Amino acid sequence: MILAPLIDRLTSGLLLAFTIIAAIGTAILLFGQVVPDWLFWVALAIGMASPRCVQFGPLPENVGRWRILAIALIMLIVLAALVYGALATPSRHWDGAIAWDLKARFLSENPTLDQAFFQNRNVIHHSRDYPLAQPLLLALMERSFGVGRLVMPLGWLMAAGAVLLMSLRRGVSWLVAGLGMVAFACTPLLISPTSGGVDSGYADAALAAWLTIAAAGCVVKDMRWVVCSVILILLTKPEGAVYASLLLGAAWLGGCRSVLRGAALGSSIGMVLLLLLQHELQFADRAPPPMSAVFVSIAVIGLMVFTDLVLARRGLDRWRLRLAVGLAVVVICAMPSLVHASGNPSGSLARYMQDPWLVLQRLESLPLILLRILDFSMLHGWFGLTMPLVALAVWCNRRSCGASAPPAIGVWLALCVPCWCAAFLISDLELAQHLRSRLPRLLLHAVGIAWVYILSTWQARLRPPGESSKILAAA
Amino acid sequence: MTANTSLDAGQVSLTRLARWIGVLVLLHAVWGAARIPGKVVMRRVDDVREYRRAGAASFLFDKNRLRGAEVVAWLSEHTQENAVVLFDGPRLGAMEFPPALLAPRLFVATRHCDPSNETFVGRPVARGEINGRRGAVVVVSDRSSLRLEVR
Repeated sequence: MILAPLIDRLTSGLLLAFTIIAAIGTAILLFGQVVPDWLFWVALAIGMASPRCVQFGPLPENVGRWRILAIALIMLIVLAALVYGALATPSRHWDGAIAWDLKARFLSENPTLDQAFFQNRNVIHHSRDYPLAQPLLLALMERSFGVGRLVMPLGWLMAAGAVLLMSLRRGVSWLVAGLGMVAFACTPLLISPTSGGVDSGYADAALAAWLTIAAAGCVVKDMRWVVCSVILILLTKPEGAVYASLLLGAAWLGGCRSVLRGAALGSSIGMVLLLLLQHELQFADRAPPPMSAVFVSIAVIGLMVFTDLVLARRGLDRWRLRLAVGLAVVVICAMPSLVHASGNPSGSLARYMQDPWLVLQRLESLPLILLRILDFSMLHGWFGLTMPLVALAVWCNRRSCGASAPPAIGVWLALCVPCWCAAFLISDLELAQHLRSRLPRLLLHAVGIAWVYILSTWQARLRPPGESSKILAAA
Repeated sequence: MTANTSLDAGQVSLTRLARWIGVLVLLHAVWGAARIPGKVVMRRVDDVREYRRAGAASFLFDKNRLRGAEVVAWLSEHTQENAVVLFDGPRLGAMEFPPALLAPRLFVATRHCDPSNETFVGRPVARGEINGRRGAVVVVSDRSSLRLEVR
């Protein structure tokens, strides 16, 4: 059966190509140069030609081909709808039109930061310091094929492919793997024509796609998926820095060394590019680059890898949680200094980091925020049955003492909740309005992580024990 | 014996939990698939049709309960593509749309560029005639509407 290796080749190839474009393109922009059109073709060639050594389970006899065809048909119909929605018009929703489309438009016409739109602070430029991976991908795709917005449904397809491949690599049947893929990919908010949906022009669905691939990479220990998706997470939206840090923290807490190393490599590359790019977009060479913030970030990531090694070698794993709490307190206390060191106090993320202790002063709003998280995730139909399934998966994992799903995924998902709450507590925006406009998209970011957690829990109980361990050992 | 029995019982309940997860995954997938014809395909087709019928500015302004789509139409017709258009008022709200709908024109606040200036960052400042008055065109914004003035 060549289908699984083909899907793997396309998904992993596109992921590597997008990462090369985002990372090298951002570096070229930082040097004030024009991103060449050939970067797109070279990245695509490298992505597709790079070797993969992945093994899949054998196709069972009673494969249920009609049911698999039905799954493929559902995916094709949704893909067609998303491609149509993306290409028929420019963005039809607020942020997509006013921020993301505009950045992509200027980069399509001239892929460099050396133009007044990016350089002159007096020119209106919404979300000025946001990273440029999505606009750059759209711009280069537009210049190469004339269909730049195709990047958006491609991101969705790659995430769905990663979920399918994760299941297949864990040795479950095509039917079960396909069902899991459809369940994730057809999550209502992801594919509806609404703010934050795949073809809305927002970067939230792209961020959700990269987070999904990172989570799937953690489950199957695929370092290319983890490294590439963490770089893309950091270069797609400022929130990506939080999610990447949470993945590092979760992998460190769970003692998942291979995931930690992949995430550390991706975070180091992504964080350096992000900090320098945000600074350039805010100050355009008028202030020295924030080298101290860059060094602090790299030092913290290096410290995490080093301490993980020491704790594992000395058998001190029980100290991880205590150390993590201590490190978290130190980082929170140091946040205002980090903002100062970044030299960008008005930056999109810096606003939330300047006074983290505001959280304690506004704790009376916490019940409302938690209530709205439950409300939005369960009662509006935007996420279908995702939330009840997460609850069941947590219960299942607790009963099986964490033997069902990799612990890092569950911890990563759980850590998102306090971060979302802190963002709303710190913000000065009117809370009810802020929750209404922002919370559904924050929940959307984690939908792929949630589905990877649900499916890896469920599928662990479906696999015949001998067969799955053989496949994983071979992989 | 007791330990084995409790292990078996745990295994059975875990299998039952996994079965429940499977049922809910199937239900979620069916729910998602059932929405495809109406909510995913037809609503998208309707949105695109409406966008093309009304035009980008009217579609976005009407949808977000803003006023001033005609300002965008006037600027599109009467100013050069490489012009710098001045504005006065908050840059959030209705004023977020003209830069997106009229790119590659640039938008600069009057406090950063005096209307008497001929150029800004090497581009001509947009000028025109409204109600018999000639001068620099200024978009005056509040959070929910736009209007045009000549200064």
